[in-house]
Amino acid sequence: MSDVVEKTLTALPSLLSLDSQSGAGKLSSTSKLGGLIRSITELTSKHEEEKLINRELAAIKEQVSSPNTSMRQMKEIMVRAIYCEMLGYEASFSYIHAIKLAQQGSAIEKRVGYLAVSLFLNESHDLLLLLVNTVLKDLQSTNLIEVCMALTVVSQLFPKDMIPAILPLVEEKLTNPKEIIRRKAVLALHKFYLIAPNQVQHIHSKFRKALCDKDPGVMTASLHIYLQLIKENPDSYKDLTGSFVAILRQVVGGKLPVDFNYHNVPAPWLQIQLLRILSLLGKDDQSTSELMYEVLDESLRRAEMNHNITYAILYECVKAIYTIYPKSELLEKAAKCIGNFVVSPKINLKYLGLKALTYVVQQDASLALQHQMTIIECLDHSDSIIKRETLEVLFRITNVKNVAVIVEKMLDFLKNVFMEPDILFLLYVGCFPLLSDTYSPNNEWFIQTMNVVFSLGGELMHPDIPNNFLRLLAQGFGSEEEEQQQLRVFAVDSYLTLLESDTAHLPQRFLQVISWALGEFSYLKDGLEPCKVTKLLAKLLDERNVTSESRSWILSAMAKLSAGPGAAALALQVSERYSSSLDTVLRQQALELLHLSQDPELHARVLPHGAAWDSFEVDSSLSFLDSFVSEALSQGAAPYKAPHQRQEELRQEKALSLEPYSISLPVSLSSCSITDRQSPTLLSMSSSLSGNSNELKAGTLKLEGVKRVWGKEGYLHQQDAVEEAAQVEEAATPALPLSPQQGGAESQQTHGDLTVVEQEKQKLASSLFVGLGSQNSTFLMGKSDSTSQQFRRKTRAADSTSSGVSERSSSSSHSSCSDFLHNNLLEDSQNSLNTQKIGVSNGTHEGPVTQSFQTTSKETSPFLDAGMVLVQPCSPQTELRDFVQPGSSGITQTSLRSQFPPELSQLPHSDISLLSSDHSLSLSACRAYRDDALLFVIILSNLKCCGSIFETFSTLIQVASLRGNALENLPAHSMSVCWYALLMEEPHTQVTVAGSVSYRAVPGHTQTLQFTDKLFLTDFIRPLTLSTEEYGKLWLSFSQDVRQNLKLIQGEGDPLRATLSALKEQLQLHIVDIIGSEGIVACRLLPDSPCLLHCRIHGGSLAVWLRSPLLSLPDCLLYYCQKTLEEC
Amino acid sequence: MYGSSMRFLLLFSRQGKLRLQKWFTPLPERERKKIVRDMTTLVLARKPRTCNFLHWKDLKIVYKRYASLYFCCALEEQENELLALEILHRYVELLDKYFGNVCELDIIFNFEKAYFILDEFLMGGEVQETSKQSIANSIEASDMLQETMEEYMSKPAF
Repeated sequence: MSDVVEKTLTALPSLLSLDSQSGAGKLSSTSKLGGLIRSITELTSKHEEEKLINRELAAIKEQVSSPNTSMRQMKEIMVRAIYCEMLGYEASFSYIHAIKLAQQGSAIEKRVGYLAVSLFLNESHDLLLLLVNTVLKDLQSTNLIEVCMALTVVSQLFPKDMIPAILPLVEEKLTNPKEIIRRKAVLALHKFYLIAPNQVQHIHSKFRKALCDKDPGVMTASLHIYLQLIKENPDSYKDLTGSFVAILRQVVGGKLPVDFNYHNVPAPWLQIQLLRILSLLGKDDQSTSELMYEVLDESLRRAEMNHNITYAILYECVKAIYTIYPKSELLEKAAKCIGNFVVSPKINLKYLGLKALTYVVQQDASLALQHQMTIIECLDHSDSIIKRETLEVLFRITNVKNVAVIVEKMLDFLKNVFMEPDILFLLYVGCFPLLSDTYSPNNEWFIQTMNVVFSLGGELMHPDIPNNFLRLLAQGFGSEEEEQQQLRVFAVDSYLTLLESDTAHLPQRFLQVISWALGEFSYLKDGLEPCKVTKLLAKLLDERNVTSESRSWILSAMAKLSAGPGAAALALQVSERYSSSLDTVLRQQALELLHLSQDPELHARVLPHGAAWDSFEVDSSLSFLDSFVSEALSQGAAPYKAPHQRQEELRQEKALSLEPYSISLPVSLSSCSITDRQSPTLLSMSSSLSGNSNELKAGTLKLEGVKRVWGKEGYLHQQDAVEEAAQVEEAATPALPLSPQQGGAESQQTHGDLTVVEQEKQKLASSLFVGLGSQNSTFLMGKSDSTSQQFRRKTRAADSTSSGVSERSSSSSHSSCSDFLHNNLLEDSQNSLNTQKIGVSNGTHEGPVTQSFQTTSKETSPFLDAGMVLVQPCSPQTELRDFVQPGSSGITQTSLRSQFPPELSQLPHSDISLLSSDHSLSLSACRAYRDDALLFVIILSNLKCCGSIFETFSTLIQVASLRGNALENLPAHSMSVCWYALLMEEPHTQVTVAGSVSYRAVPGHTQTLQFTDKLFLTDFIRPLTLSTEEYGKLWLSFSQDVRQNLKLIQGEGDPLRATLSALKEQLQLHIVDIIGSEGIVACRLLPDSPCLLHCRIHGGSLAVWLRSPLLSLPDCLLYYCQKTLEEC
Repeated sequence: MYGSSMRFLLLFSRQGKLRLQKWFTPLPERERKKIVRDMTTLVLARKPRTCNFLHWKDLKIVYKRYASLYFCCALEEQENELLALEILHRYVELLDKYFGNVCELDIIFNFEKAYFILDEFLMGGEVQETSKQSIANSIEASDMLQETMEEYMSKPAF
């Protein structure tokens, strides 16, 4: 059969030349589909169309179910069904027949069958499982075209958990003699890598083979995978830089067959792919970047032709040049290139030029200055997309002097064009850093701007905006207390004015903001009667278009105000009305309001004015209810069961089992996912919330989930930079010819006959580009790397004792959301710690202290990390290897070990490794494995003189508790140990922790030592001791499973036992039972997420099924299992 | 949601009638319908002589009009818009080569062929083959197969 196909293929060129128009199958307009289409076009109304299609579908339905329909007819029917679906009518009855067609049809029918399947079904559709066998069969076919079809459909849609079934076959195709098959196989693997990276990790070496394939098409396809891999972990692929550069050089030099040209440009897709890879590799890496300077230069030079595709290459090239380690010569050329784009009359190029500019101005603001007139013109461009891009550029160059103008432009844009949530977000993000007292022209301006933002934004607005705004109001941005109060009073004033006018047009979110701010801060305004505010709020409450969520905000604001004289009576009135509300939340709040307004003492206790934020204690365990509960229990009440437990029991009572009959079935039927449960942690959290106490309010300000983007940390640092910039600017302005005002003046002299319009533009330019002239300008809007955020905080020595505490204003909302507790507790403890230390350090006359911490955490691609070492827990008794730190006076492991506190030295722990050091401080770390957490132990040794040390540490892993001792003075050659208990919240194969230590060796001079370390999933895995019975129960309670074949260790004795015990040794698993050729193993991810493994010898390998409530845990664990067994 | 560089490709007429849809990432049916609606309204509302790019949620929309048909695709944030325009253009060239002076009617009446050509050109949202000749070859090969396969199938199996 393959011979037939091969012959056909080789004969093709000659056939084609005979019949050049062969493809134009215009005949089919006479077919049934043609008839259908024609009759549809003749219709006049949608209603008629509906009738016609329904008739058609009924006919199709009858035909497909008839046993006499041949596959050939079926193909024709399927095409019509696809057409009906495209028109928006459902033809779900035909799905199963599409699969049948793919299964049983001959080549051309099969192709239509596959097409219909890929158009009809979704990746999660149940019927897709029926396709697996067909794909398997076709992958093994000797017919080239059938194999191609199978590979195509596999890369279009394939159920994730069935990938292992076909993976070996697809892998095998990588060595197929036909390049088209190899190429499709590589792309299919790329798809697999995207949806299930852990499944394809073992064929990594084959990717390299594909990269070196003699066919450029296969090589190009493999670059898709490499781009992805390098994106995730650039470090592991630095060695390939040379090869990529060589390939690019050959491509640019025109060494590829002409076949790969596109409009006379050699392989543009390949070029762009390579440029992208290079920019990822060269980022922040000078030596790697140096390898590519030459070829980038050549790419810039070669891409001269005036065609879109060369512009695409140029754009990518410029992006690469600005991403890698800078080289001034190249930067100059790239800047010129961007300039050409920006001034181009072609609108698409202008757009890209502006886009590149947003990217570049963060590094070099003078470029914006060069093109200021073009930017001004673009600001009035008729195309709103261009306008929007221009505004983005402007926002990147915002500074204290032009902020008002830019924000005004932005607001204009919003009013005139259309609501775009992302523009609003941009506006908001752009505004916030500017709000510090040095930045915003004044507080009033800020409040008014935010008012406009809120009223315009409406319900489209990102919920972070109001939340952060309120947080900012509550905490201030660390400015003087007085100014902060002033800001609040402004806010209260403007809100009162707003409420007094018509409120019907105000969006709900804004109403919520208003009511919260009024509730919190209206006491600050002298002479303002709480009763007046309450009246306004009551009026608002009665308005019809106010949602019940907003009502609940209003009620809680009223509760805060109800203490004042006069307000109580009104509160009483309101609470009476709402205590019969149908909405339970409102009803409860009304009752609370009633109580609070009548009992001033209680009110003062629950809602104190201006109380410190952290003076609230939240009893998340609800221990105050203990006596109540025990009393109820003793009276025979049933003990509380969490919802998931209840559901579990219910499920067990029901006779119908949705679980697969045998666990050795290779597929988990996707019908199991009907039982799709929430993770137990989530549920238990909500259950802990269900105990409602008086202090807990549902509708009040939710600050806990909100990312702290613009906290105090962000601001002071900027203020610093601004002061600097301002100073330098003052000095530089007179001397700098590029300064905008002067530039404007000059051009006015040369062109005396400038029109008024032009003059206006120039004026606008000078107001927009003011303060840019030098590299000292600050770029606050930097789209900073999403993976790393840097916070810096500068605490002034002056208000040392109060700063950490008093800036926090009261908030009446507390929930037991654990996330909030962890995050903020961590921060708070650090803050207060820091404050105390500063208090002391004032006494010893030491200047300000800078403290910074950085968070970088990412999931690194599991199988890239060649240098990764699996840490072995070792007992404290093991012999210690001495090591001498570079440049240190011989600090040995033993001496480091001696620092261990007794409670740690009992625990198994890893070797102590040096993480980072400089001339005066060295920092080592080790991991100790406690049963309930991983302890990350940091050992600081002072190598030189004395000095004070402060340190912080943060990571995206949930930090369960913190025990760090910030040191005041660390005597010379001494050490200190602190440790952190860590848990893993989301399974990752590996996470990076980063932190920094700030210390002062010489008074007044602060140094920072950065460190990073990697933690592995295995660090967080502990054995889970279970009985076989418990295991069985637990197994049935999870429905999703992952299957993988693992290597068996062939040694003496039982291979199953040997393999399992190797896994147990290395990964801290618990072997529950081994029966015959099957074994069951359990472990848990800290704190308590179980993962169950069912192993069975199958052929020469170990088949393992894993189940866990955390979906990604099995994948991550499998990775380590594979790794362990490979190493054995 | 994982990222292939192209998320979807839509072909629709000036009247907003969908002519071809290809989704490179799994989306529920309802979502798809909403996207098609959004795309047609967004793109059809664009005035002439404006740029070919749009923002929609976190995606970049690149579209181009060829005669009465709009070709419209969605890209991830870091993708190159100009390159996407060229992808659309190459697809049109491929259709043109296959149908010979392609027009909207060809695509309406032979939409399955348009899908097959697209499958040879893009795979999983990535460009698979850029050579016009190679794509034409593999399409022809599959088309030719019809006859040879039927001859073959009429013989007894193995």
